[in-house]
Amino acid sequence: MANEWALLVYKLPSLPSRLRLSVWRRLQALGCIYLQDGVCVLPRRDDLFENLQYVAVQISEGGGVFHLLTSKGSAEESEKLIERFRILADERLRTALTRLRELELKLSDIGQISDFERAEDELKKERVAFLKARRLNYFGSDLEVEVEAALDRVRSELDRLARGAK
Amino acid sequence: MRYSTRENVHVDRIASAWLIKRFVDRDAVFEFTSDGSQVSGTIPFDMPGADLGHHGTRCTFETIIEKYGLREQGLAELAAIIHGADILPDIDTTLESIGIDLAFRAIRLANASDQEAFQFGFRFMDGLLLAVQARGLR
Repeated sequence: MANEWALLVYKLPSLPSRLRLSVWRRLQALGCIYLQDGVCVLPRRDDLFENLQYVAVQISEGGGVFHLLTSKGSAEESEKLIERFRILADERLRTALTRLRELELKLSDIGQISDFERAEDELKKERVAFLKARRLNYFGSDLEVEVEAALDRVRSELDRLARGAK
Repeated sequence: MRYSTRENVHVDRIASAWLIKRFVDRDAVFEFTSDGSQVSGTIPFDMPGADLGHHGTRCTFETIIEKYGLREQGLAELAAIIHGADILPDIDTTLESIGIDLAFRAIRLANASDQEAFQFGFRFMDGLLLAVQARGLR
């Protein structure tokens, strides 16, 4: 898979802008990298390719045109793309890690039940954010382990606080 | 009627076939195509260009509900779950979708053929609808 890529080349009418936004959002949520305006790439994986087909349907029905291609890159070109995907995955996971560290710091100030509930809600949100970031970690980032460890630490601390409150 | 879809089925094709069989056409018979091409004399579903397929941001399951005006209790909630399981960017729109995606991958892997995956998947969908309906009654 590492040398094979799915390329979506598309052009949308300038209006309505909500269609352009919707397509862009869906491609972002799939973790696409834009090589240039209207040209984006993903690793060639069956589930990702199928999802690009879904977006292509939306483009076509919205009056746009597209080409959905499979491309085999040279080792050198593929390594460049893999590196870009890794950098993006690292950024997402580093952001999650930063937020979790901030949450960890806040735990020491918990005094009220409402603080505790807020921290529980934040942890839930962070877990969902992590699942998203992990789904887009197509080529492996070491930070995944660190985020999981931080999630576990916050979970343990909240459990400890809950036991102490009884 | 005969219906056709792409082989190597996953969540949207299994759930959509179940929807057709249970609520649209009790006598539906399903066939599979390896290259996504039309099979003559069949109604294609969840295939590129099919009327019963993805349209806009809707998955095939939602298209069928819309097209046939299906209003069975629990179907709308099921549609949201299937949508999230099928469309990766929306996988976190319901709590269940991530698990359902995995469950349907398991169904495909545990069955030797697409036809068997359909039979297994249909029973699973029957149970899923009952579970969703029961939740609504609480």
